[in-house]
Amino acid sequence: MASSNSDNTSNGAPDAQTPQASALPEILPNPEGGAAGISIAKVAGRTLINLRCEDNIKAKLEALFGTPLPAEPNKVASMGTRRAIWLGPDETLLMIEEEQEAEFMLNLKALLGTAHYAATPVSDAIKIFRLGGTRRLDVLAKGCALDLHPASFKQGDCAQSMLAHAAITLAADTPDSLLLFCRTSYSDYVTSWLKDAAVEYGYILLDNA
Amino acid sequence: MLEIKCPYCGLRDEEEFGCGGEAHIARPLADNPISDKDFADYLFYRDNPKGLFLERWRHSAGCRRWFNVARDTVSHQILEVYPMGAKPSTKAGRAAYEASWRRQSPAEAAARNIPQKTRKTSTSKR
Ligand SMILES: [Zn+2]
Repeated sequence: MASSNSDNTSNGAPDAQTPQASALPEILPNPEGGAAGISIAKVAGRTLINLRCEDNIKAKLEALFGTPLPAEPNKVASMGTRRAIWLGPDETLLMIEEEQEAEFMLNLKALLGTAHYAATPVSDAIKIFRLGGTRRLDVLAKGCALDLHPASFKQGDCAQSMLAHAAITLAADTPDSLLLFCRTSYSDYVTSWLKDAAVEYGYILLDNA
Repeated sequence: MLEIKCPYCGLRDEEEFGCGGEAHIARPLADNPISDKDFADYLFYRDNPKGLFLERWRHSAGCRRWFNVARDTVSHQILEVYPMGAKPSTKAGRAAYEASWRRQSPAEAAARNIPQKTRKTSTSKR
């Protein structure tokens, strides 16, 4: 396990974190006063399932998932706390409540039977963050080439790209927040990078969104 | 930096893509009559033209799908983007496709000539 950012050593051995990571606190007030420019909140209690299947199978899932899975590239379908995120023409990332995972997987198996599909739980592989705050787009713009302006990256849009060399998926989830998905192994790096990029706006790290 | 139009995601930075080299290289079937020299030509020879080149690209950091790109190696202009399994639709792209030495190569003929007993006809794309 990586040590926390405030503790740069574990058992006396140097941590693989940059000195900058440990130098930055959990909360940095907005130097201009007012609310922090960006809030970075871990989203807990969700299961992620990577679903690979053809369109005809996707269509069958509407009843089980509650809403049609996105047919258009780079779109998100929402139903309460559930999200279905387009990852590819035959690939969707399903986000559901953790306690519903077992039942959902059983129902999926019953519904699809011997159809050709793959549903892989990937919750341990991917970390979810919710980014809020009025300067969240300015922070992301420092490391991501996507045009995230609300005029082109509208609510319900998603995109896979890179943030400072780390592979990420972004979703414009609500009018005032984005969902950010990244590899668990990169999550410390991504949060450190976000903190560093947000020094001029102030930031706050939250445990649960 | 190029901007490449992924057939699914639209215009994205080159940084998100990987180039897979020359497109439209048909693999000879396992059961084929071609000589070792012709097989070596298929396996090792890659074109490196000055001008329009048909390439495979992959949207590695995005949707992770392969597609074809017709790109000018001098100006870097991208003439067209088209799906895997398809042929170029522009006149210049089509001409580059037809002009390739591979169209007449024994290896490509050995990829096209599909014996019924080993392959279903539906897999004969070219
Ligand atoms: Zn793409």
